Amino acid sequence: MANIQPIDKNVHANLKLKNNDNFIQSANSHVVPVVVHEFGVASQEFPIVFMKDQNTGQFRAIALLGLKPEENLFFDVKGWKGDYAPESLHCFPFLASQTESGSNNVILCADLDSELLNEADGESFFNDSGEQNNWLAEKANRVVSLVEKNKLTQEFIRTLLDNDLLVSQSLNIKLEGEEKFTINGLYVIDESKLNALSGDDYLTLKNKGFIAPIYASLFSMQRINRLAKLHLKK
Amino acid sequence: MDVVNEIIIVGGGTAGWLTAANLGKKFKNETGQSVKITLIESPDIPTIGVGEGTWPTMRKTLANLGIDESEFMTFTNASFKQATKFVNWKATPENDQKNHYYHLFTSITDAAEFNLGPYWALGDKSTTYADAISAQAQICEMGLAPKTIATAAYEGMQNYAYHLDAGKFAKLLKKVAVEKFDVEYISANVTGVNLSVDGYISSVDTDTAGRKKAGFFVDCSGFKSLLLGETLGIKFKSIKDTLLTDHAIAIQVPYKDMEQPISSSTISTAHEAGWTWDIGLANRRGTGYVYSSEFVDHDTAEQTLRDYIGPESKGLESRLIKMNCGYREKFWHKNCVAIGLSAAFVEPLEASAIFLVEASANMLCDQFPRNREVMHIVEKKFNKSFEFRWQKTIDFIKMHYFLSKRKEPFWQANKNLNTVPDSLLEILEHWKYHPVSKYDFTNVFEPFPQESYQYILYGMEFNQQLKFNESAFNMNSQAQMHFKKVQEITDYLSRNLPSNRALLKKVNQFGFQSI
Amino acid sequence: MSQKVNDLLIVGGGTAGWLSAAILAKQLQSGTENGVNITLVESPNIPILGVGEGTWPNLRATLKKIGVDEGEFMRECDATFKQGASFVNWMQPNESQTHRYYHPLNTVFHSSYNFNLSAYWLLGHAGSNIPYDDAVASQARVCDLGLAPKKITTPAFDAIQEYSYHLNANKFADFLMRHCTKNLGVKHVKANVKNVILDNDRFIESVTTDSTEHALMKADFFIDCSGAKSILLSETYNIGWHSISDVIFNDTALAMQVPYEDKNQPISTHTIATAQEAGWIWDIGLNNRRGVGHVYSSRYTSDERAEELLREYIGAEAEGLTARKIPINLGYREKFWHKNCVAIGMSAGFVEPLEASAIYLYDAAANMIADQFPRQRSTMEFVERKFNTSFKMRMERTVDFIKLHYCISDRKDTPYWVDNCDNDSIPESLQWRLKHWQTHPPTKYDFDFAWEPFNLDSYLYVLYGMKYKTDLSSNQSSFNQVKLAKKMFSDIDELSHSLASELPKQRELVEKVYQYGFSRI
Repeated sequence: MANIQPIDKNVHANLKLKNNDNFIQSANSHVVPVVVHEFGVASQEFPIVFMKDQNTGQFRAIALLGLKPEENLFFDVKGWKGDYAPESLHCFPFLASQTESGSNNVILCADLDSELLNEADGESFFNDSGEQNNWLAEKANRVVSLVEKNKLTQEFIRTLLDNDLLVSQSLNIKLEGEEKFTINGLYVIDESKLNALSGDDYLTLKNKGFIAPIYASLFSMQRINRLAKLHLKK
Repeated sequence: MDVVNEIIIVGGGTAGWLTAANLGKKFKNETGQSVKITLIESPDIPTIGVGEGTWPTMRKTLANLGIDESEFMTFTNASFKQATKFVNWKATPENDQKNHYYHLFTSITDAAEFNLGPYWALGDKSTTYADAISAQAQICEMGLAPKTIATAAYEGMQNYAYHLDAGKFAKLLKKVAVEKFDVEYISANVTGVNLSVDGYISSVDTDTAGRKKAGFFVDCSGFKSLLLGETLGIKFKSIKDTLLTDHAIAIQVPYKDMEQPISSSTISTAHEAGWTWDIGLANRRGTGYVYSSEFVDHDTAEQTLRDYIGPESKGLESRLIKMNCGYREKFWHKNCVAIGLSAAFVEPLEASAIFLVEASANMLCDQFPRNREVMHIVEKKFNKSFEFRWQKTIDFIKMHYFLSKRKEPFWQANKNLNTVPDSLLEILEHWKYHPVSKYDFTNVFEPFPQESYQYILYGMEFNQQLKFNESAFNMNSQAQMHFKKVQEITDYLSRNLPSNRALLKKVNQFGFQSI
Repeated sequence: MSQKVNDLLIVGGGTAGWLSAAILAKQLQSGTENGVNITLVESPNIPILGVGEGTWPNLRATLKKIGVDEGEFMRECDATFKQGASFVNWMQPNESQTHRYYHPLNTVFHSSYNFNLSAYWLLGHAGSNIPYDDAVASQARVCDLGLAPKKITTPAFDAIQEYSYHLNANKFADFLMRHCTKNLGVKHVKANVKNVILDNDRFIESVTTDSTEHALMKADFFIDCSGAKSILLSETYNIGWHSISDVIFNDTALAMQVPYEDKNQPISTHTIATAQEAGWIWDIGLNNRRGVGHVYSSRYTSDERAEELLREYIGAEAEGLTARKIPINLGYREKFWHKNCVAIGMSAGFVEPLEASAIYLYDAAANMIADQFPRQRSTMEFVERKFNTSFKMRMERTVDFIKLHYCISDRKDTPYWVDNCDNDSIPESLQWRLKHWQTHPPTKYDFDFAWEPFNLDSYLYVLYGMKYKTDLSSNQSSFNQVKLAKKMFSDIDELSHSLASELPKQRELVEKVYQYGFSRI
């Protein structure tokens, strides 16, 4: 169970963060959220698709890491082995939370139940004078920046929906030596609908800077073949 | 309570045996027959044996009886029927320039959900209506089948029915009814029908099998209508004043060779005083001329048919049939219901006869009144339903004639308002300014669906003016999407479907899988 | 071409007026160059009826068609999901046991049109003592557990279990008004109609109002949504009224609004209709309150007694709440469409709200008019005839179906219930069918009217929920597909179990929808 608390130098004076270059939290995840800013680089390795959050019904952009639930094909005994690690992996276990509902002030929080947080090993949050260590300040900036990036990503998704560019897609997978199976619940960008947009609508997408991430997602569909190969190699 | 434990069907043929098989199946139990079904068929009286077109409902009917599709097709020399092609109905051909239109079984949309009719009517009409909303007309023009050998039994890539040899079909149904569903078969002539005091039929007398008693009787005795008409006195209403045809001449034409293409549709060609049917079975063609003897004599009529067939008609035998067109005032009276020609007959322009036999048998089975007490309720329901169905069938057929621009006397007579039912006139008047709508169809058991009417209306170039109300048809992008899809499907199917001939050979050899 | 129809005036607002405006405006492209321009004039003082709170699934298709966002609509109208109705004590209640059955919105599993599962239930193949609704519909179980008919991830207007809405009628009218005026090109005028002016052919030419800006409102076609008053059809054209009070005895409604005890009180997934001495009580759960009311016959009970029973039903929470008395005149017009005027709503007719048929019929009427709209005067007559025939039939069928709930009851505790079974009060069409159903279950052949408001499944739910005696003893053998039937029963059971673990609770989903809405895909 998550235990999200704001980081308070009084309460958490002795808190330390274990090294997590291996992004161990992703061990059993077949998806990881991505923001529109990293579609370009992420699409070189992973299929970038869209899924609904089971709790809110809202769409999120995700990188697909495996073909079956809890399968992460970019993780082995040594940990994360992808060339690129999405932002959300770097920010874990930190989050930003609004001080008051609707306000623009955010404070840094963390999931205190995470095994990465302890008082014995790793980097200290605060130095002897009780000040935030540099790495924490940098992490805080990164987390806040991710909040902004998520907002833009949500706007991107809204724009896709308003222009009727997303379609539901089931992937039928038939691999050698395995039974056929289907992956449901994925949504992808429909290129023919993109091409059918009016000049004005297309221009709007361009002006918002959305053309590149749209194509990044489209081209990233080829990465599914790679997932299939990795799955077979397992 | 007076419970029915035996049913006697008088007469065989398609009507008798289809009813027998369905009733047999309904009442068959692990412990045997709960209701005994007997069919008495005359060994001497031939069946009419000409009805050869069916509707797509036949597939379900056969599947329900557990009949294997390939076996059925091979036994009855059946071929696939995907449409009726109406040649020269629009207008008399000038300079040998034929005209035609298709009435198809498949369309890209369900008109009740999204009607493409008005969108086509308001467009440039660069393609025909049939070609705009369906791939099937092109498929028929190319003589292709509606499926491949790999398609499961009774399923199709396009909706289809069958052309079949009616005589053989009756034999197959007989086999199924007797061997699978325990129907008793008695070969005998019925010499008398006995009524009880309350006017219900109690038994029939036969020449070789004695007296047979039953609680319920089905009259499948053909035009004779031995039970309903002759015995119970239910009058026959002729429709000669509406549909003018009264005779048919039939000629069976062999194929030149076993490679001659088989048509994917019934070809109905209009002539001076009627129309010819041309149906391609697997082993031969069935052709015939349906005409009005008031407008042409029998010899000329026969010549017209022979001319249509061409030189191959030399030496072929013809058969003259007098058609008694009309229907009984009621189809069900007390404990007797008539199914088939004993109930009604309308000229075979839209192959409705066998369909209405299926529908009758289905309703009879579903509603079968085991207690005499409730028979009158089912009687009322059945009569109401089938009177409606026959009237609609007549209206629909009449529409083909009424919309024609042909000028010969027979065709002009057909436009005489005295021959046109008011119901048809009113709805056509309405359709001048409104597309055909689902709201025009208030009965679930309408024999012809909304789209069928549009195929005929637009095929016959009915003058429909919608321009003044164009704004009501405002889902243009959706309509265009459907039209585009038709193109794609046509391309795909034309490359992937076999010819009728090729598929029939394979059916003979391999059969269809059940899945 | 005869006189063209380019302008349409709807007289009266409320649900009937605004729903019709929305449907017609969308189809006829109101406000566009070649479209039909639609204006709605409603009184600023006369309040709308504002009680109709139950709807049917066709409303979803309509809302989708007119471009409404499902989440926004639900939030602004305090709407919740309705999955049908449960009928309590319509059969004689035992001392301790209430009698209850569901009429869910789902069709009977595997569709009764192709396979008559009810016969097999009658013959006991579903198991002993399993009620009909449980045997044939997973939805009864879903309702019992208080679950919603879909998930937050289900696209807008799609269903996992068939559903419609309970909604606040006042807010719904307002919501539609905003949508019509903002997005569908409908003009809104607030004024009282004074006079109706006819032309030489006795077609309506215009109406006068008490507003200076719109003193004279001309149009080519008129829709009368002026409620029971029926300014156009009744007051102007004197179209007669066919009363059904000899069939359905209720003539008064007493309505109350009951707040929830606390924010987390579960919201009912269906309308609850509880039979009383001389009527029945409705209980509808909106998001923020319940609507509870007593429909009764003043011929069989007094207003005081009716209020007493209502307050008893509600319990302690009723203290301090006021009841609103509404006289209801049950019946329908002898014709609904006359020349260039058609009535939709209470002006057309009203059959008591037992099966929430009112809004359903408004929607059906507006859809048929939109589809068949005669753009010129000369084609009006044929459409008029078609419409009148169709809606007369629909009203008759609605009356039949409602009467069914009463006349097969075994309650004999009051004269009200005894008289309800009197043959003189039962329409012949219903009597005739019931006779047949004594020895044969209903099938598709009993429902050949394509626009039947209540189909085969609905009749089956009520008949067998009320344990109607269909005696199959002499015809058992024709129901010989026992194995197949048993498989269907177990499929339904399985489905109910999986849905029980999959679907969220009603209140939980309603809260999420208000917050996040449903996605279009």
